[in-house]
Amino acid sequence: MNLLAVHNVSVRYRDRMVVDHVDFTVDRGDVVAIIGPNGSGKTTLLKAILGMVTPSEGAVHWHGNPRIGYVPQRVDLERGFPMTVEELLLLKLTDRPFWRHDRATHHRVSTELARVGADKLIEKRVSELSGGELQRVLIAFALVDRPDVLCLDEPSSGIDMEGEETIYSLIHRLSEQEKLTVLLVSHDLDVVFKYATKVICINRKLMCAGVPSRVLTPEMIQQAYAGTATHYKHGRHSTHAH
Amino acid sequence: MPTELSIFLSSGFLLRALLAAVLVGFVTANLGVFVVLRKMAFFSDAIAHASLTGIALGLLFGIHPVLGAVVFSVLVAVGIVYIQKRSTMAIDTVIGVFFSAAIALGVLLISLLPGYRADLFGYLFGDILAVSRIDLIVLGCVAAGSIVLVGWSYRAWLAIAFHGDLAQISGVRVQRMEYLFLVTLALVVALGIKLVGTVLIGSLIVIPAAAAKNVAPNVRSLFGLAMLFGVSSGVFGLLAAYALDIAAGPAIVITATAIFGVSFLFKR
Repeated sequence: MNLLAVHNVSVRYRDRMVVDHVDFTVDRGDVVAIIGPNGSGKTTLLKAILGMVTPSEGAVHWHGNPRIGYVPQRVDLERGFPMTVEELLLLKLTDRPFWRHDRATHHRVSTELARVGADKLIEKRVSELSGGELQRVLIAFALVDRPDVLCLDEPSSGIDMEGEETIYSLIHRLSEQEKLTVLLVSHDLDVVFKYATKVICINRKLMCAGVPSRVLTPEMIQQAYAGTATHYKHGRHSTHAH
Repeated sequence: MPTELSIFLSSGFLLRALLAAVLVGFVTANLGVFVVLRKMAFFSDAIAHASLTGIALGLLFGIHPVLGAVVFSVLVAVGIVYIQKRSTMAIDTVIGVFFSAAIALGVLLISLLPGYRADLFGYLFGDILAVSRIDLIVLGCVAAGSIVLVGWSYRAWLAIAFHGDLAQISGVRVQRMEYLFLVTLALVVALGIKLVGTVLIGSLIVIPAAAAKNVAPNVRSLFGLAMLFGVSSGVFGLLAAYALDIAAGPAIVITATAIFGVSFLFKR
């Protein structure tokens, strides 16, 4: 049985159709990349899947009430926001006031951060982290509840090229270790080919869905990005579509 | 000075004022932390000013003015959020419209009140020296209520301050907690009216928390410092007002501003 079924989902903001009758399924253990040009409705589709946006038509069905972890695209914090990494994780890890947490809870926070290689950041303020560090911490935050599904919206935004590759390797490692189903919004075709078992390509409407090597033909990419797309190489081996 | 201090401490009304200053300083600073973290300073100021209209309505219809202030403040707060969610207008524009309209309506209603109302000045700028035993009991109850609300909700409000969507996915009922925050804010505004009045209560919510944010290394110390600064502003402002024979409300706010100035020098 499918873990997730997106049935003919449309999302409308006032008069504007942002997602137009999109239909696909996700199986347990899939690593699904949702791709498409800027403004194609990728983030809105993810939000509809997560229940943060109500579809104007269609429905989203999760089977078996899976636990879901979410990593947003951006966290707009002003520089002076004083929350530390430990305090952020404590919001989920303990019901006690976090000024009263004990050594065992501190150790648990440290262990959670170590899973994503961020244990050294425990005392740092969240607002002072680099893009890559923040993504790691947000992934650790999402994994605290031991989710079955991890949803990430452009996990590499605001990260330099090397950090980008490290974040995707981390997601790949975690998905294998924790047997996670992963849904990620991305614009990076290299990532799709390297890590995704399934791709959902949208440009408001569903353009294609399936195994990347089969469905993502140059013609399909050209059609999905509607001639406005540029596929360019930067760095040693990265191909992006915008 | 020691003689003056002993006179101060032996005087019943001054002691009640001091206790009120400690209570209000503690509670406003506590809630102020969320106001500052969520960048809602203008919003809380608008609610505070709108309470003037509630007071005028209360006086006009024979309801307790502070109750009028709470109800009207909640209505304005809910109105701002409702319009903002259903329009493309920036939040500060919506607040600006409600803020001006509420003040205009308040002044209009005050002009309809029969005769000269000397007590209005107290509602505008506070009259802490007139705090009665009953006032103190009401203050204590409202303070206890708001502390319970903050204690129960702080985790959710912090999560929302960090990231609303993330809070929602983590199981926080964001909309419900937003409205609870507005009600608590209106309660705390009403609490501070007796101390510094509707004109200055917004500053007492924002300034101690802003000063604490300048120097606090983490959220834990942010709460502690904000409450310390809030209580200190109340106590030292009141003592300064007594020593210099000046109005207590403005003295308390100026003391808070002085603390903010010092904290800015040590900004992280």
